Amino acid sequence: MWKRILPCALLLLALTSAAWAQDDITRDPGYIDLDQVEDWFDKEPTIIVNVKGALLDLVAEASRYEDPELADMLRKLKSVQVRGYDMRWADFDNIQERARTMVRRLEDQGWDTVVRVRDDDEDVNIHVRENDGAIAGMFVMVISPDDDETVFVSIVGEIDPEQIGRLGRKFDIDPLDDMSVDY
Amino acid sequence: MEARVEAYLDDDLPVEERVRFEQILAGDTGWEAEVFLARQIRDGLRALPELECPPAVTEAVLTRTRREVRDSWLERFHAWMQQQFSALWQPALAMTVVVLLVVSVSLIGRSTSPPPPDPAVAQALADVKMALGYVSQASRQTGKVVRNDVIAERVVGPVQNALNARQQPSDDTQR
Repeated sequence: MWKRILPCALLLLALTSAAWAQDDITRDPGYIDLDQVEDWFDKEPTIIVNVKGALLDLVAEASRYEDPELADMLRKLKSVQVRGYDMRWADFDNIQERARTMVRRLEDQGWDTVVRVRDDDEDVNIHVRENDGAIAGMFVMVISPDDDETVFVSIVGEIDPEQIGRLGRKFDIDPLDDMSVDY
Repeated sequence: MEARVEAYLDDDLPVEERVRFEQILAGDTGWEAEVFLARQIRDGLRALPELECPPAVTEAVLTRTRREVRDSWLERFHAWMQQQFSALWQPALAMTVVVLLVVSVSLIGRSTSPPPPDPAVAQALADVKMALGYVSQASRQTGKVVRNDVIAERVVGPVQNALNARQQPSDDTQR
């Protein structure tokens, strides 16, 4: 009897442990659940990215030949999330207000606001969360109805902002290139 | 018959032949004189003093003999080594070369042709690059705005105003 039950119990334990490990990212101080911004919009997101755990490890390994520095950086990350939405001008004030509320909550939780740019037609926020003297998470909000691109990016893990900026420069995104900036 | 004279004197003839030879000698004085002469020559030679070989000659002969023996040993050793080399070392060397070639080819192959990633992994890599691109772009764009709003408005503007203010009185005095 026990010979049949024991393997099943061990398998169940392994599965629950794996599930626990997978969910453990939500307990990370640098983690932000981007699903919470879905309520702000009445449309489905146009961009959804959820790369974490084993998939992120595989991504790091896959980029090893192409870009070793990128692979080294990705190995230190735990999760990369992106949400992108098309936004109407009519919703801009409402979304801006919700974003401000979220920023206040994040600051209460220990997040630092690194950059905040509020313009008539765009709202850009960059926040980081420090933990044990290192950056454990980064959150970027770009709310810009002019370009039909409102983007939320959450990166969890050991982050070097300078490295992200340098590497990210290689992967320029067109819509943000067109952001209007008054000189 | 002449050959038998010498053998007779050396006492090398069989008994029957010796008896017959002595019967011939007893009836033939010519052969008896021949045997007498041969015996005198033999005894005379045996009476000569024994000569010693000069030391230089002995040394030269020994040196040459040693060299020939050594050369012979080296030749045999060289031949043995060649046999061992061809029997043992040649296959080992060939195997080593083959292993080195295989390892080199596999290393070169690995470094030049990475395995194609799984489509899901490739898509995830593209997504991660896009996310990094957004972060980098947002940083740069906000940097431009800060530079424009802060530096242009609070640094360049006042400096420009100050320069204009200094230039204006000098213009008035020139008039």
